Amino acid sequence: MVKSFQQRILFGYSISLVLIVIILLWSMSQLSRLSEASNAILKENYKSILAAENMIDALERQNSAILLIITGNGAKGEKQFSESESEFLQWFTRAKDNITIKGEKDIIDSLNTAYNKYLFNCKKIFSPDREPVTSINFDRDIYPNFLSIRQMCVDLRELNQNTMFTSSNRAVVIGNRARLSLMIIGIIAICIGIGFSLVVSNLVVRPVLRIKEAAQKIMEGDYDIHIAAETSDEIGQLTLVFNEMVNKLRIYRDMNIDRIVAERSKNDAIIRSIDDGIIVVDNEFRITNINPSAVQSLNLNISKEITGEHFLGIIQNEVLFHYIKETVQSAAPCPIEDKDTILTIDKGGDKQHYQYSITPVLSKSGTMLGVVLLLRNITKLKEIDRLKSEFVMAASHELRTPLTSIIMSVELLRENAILHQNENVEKLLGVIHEELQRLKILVNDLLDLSKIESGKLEINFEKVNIQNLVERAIALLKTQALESGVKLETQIAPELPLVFADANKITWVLTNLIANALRYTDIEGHILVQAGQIGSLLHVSVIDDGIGIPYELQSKIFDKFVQVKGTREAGGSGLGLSISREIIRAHSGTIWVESTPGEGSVFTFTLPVIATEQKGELNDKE
Amino acid sequence: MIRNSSILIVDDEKNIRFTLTEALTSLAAEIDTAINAEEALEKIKQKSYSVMLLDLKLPGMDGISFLKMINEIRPEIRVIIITAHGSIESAVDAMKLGAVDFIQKPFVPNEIRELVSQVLERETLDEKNVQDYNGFLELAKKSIGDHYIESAIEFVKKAINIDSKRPEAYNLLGVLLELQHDREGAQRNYRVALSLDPSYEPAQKNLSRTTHSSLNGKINLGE
Repeated sequence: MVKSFQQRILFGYSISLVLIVIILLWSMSQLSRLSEASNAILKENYKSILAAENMIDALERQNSAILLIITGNGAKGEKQFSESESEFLQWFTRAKDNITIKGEKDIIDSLNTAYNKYLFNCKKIFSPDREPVTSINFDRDIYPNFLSIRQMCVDLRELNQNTMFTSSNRAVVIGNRARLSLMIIGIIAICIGIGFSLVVSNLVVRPVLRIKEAAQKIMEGDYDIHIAAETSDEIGQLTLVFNEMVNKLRIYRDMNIDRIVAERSKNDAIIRSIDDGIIVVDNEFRITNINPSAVQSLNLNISKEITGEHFLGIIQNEVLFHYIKETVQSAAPCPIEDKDTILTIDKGGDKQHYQYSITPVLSKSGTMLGVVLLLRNITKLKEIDRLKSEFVMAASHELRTPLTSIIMSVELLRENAILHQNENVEKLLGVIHEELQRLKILVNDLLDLSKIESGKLEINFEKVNIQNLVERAIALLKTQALESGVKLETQIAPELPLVFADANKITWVLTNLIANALRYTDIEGHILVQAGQIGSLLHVSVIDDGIGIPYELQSKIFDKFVQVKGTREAGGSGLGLSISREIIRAHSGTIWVESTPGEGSVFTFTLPVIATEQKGELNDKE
Repeated sequence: MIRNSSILIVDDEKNIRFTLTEALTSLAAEIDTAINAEEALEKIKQKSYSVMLLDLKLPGMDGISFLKMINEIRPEIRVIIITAHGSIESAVDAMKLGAVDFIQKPFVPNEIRELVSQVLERETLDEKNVQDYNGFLELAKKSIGDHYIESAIEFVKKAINIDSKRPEAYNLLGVLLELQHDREGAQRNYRVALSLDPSYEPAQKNLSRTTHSSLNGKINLGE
């Protein structure tokens, strides 16, 4: 059997080659047969015809020679006779040598006999003792002889002519047959060739096609494929290697699937065990995963299938959905306004608070896969916070009564001391007075802060002109600035837009910032209150050239009880900036500090400006 | 200046009573103290008082109930409320019940002296000998103490006629309208006061209180 693919191709070609050789040989044999046939015509018949023709010639000339002799021209006639005789005999020998046809020999034989008889009769004429040649003799003895010989020669010629005609006919037949057979063999060869080509190409292509189909199935994810190796040729080897490859791919895939399944169950376990509620939503807002904590948090019906459902079908919360939609569309963590991050769910009178965050899930290439919604139960935190605020509030309340008694007593004692000009006592009481002032501010600020933190701070939004507020704050602190020798200036951009703000609270913030600046600025220092618009925000800055804030404190300066310990008494409660931050936050603004120790500080807060049409409305009213 | 005035201090805190007494001694008024509402009632029965300093948080009968009672039995007593609570509602309630003013802990002797003497001086005021701005304002405040809100409004309007550029009268008019439950009118007047003087604190506080609650919720009559 054919061993290799290469051999198979060669085999296919060699079959065609053999066919071509056969056709070649066949046609050569046919050609030789044809030439043989024509050759035979030439050899067998043409020579005999030529001989017969010449014999007739020679015979007629002999006859005329006899006639010459008879007519008295003996010498010339004899000469001509003998010449013609030898010529005749010469051609006769040729004809005799060329007996090829049946019947020819008989003619030759009888010709031989007749001619000999003719010669004998004629010799009688030539002999010296010859009788006078008369015409009667001639007519009687020679002429019939001559005629029969001539007739024999004609017969010989005719016979050969006929035979030549037959042969020629036969050659045509042979030629026709050769053409036919060549045609048949050619057709057969072509058919066999085509058949072989088909078989061979099929033999080559079929296994390749099978491999192609198998590869396609693998592509579609069907790894359970085994191609039987039908041959041991190159294709067979390819099949074996292919099978091995599929096997390895399957093992690799199974391994991957195992890993993915393990990873998935690990993730599921993590999601399930997390106390926070987690809901995974795909980019078509269908819930793909939800943990029991989320189900419990949102009071969802467990009997209903949740995964695969549309988010709004399960959780009827438009605000939440709005943020999820925004996150899916922007593919970036959604900036959620502070007031919206808390979801309050009423569970039979027991209110639960959840802080939520929405995180987009992106593939490596950055394609949006969905979002993760995290619900953190902050009810306890809120409760603790509330208790803390209540405690602080209660404490600062309770502190007021003893503080009042002490302040009253100290003040009365100071009056007495001043009255009696007891300087030492007065100084000591002054110390107590100062500290009591600090304590008083602290108690008041603590109360304010706890009110703000417990959400009891109500912001009374009005359309306000920031210039008025700055002026108000400056007016309150003008005297103090004058006393401490600090130059207090303002720089307010003209035609600033109005802001939605609580005038008193913003004034409070401004006053607090300016008072802080005064506290930390030396004599001959400068404080500048600046206001200007940047985009849709109003920026208000309080700039001083005081002692500044150490870098390590700058990030904590807005925390409670953080104060810059300077060379002199600060006197604040350490809560002013905390309260300021809470107030600015409640206005959807931000507050920050930029400071270089030793060179001064810049406290800036922002407030959103009112859109122009709103401003117009206000102008109409006024 | 102050003639035959007597003051009653009602507070359950011994030290508050004592220091208040000490602080007010210089006013040359008779000062009595009571530890609770019950004792104060006893004292009122025995003697007539011009001014009463009353702590709203009292053991037994609470300050607000006591204030209601005082207004019924002895409406001529001017009550100044002392409170450690910044709680607005009780302060407003107290104002509406006829307290003339209130002071929040912690305070200093001068503050309480000024407040008390102001209230006492008002008693000596007479419509006939008052012609100036401050006089009419004090008369208005006195009328509040007497629960004559309409006449208080009249006095305030006279003050405004004398000087319409000062914020105090508008602020007081706002308070009076608020006592008549005209919240919008009150706010309008607080705004007028603020437009005249943006740094006028009583009007600021009153305005933010009437629009919402605030850090400091007491009605501010202006000094």
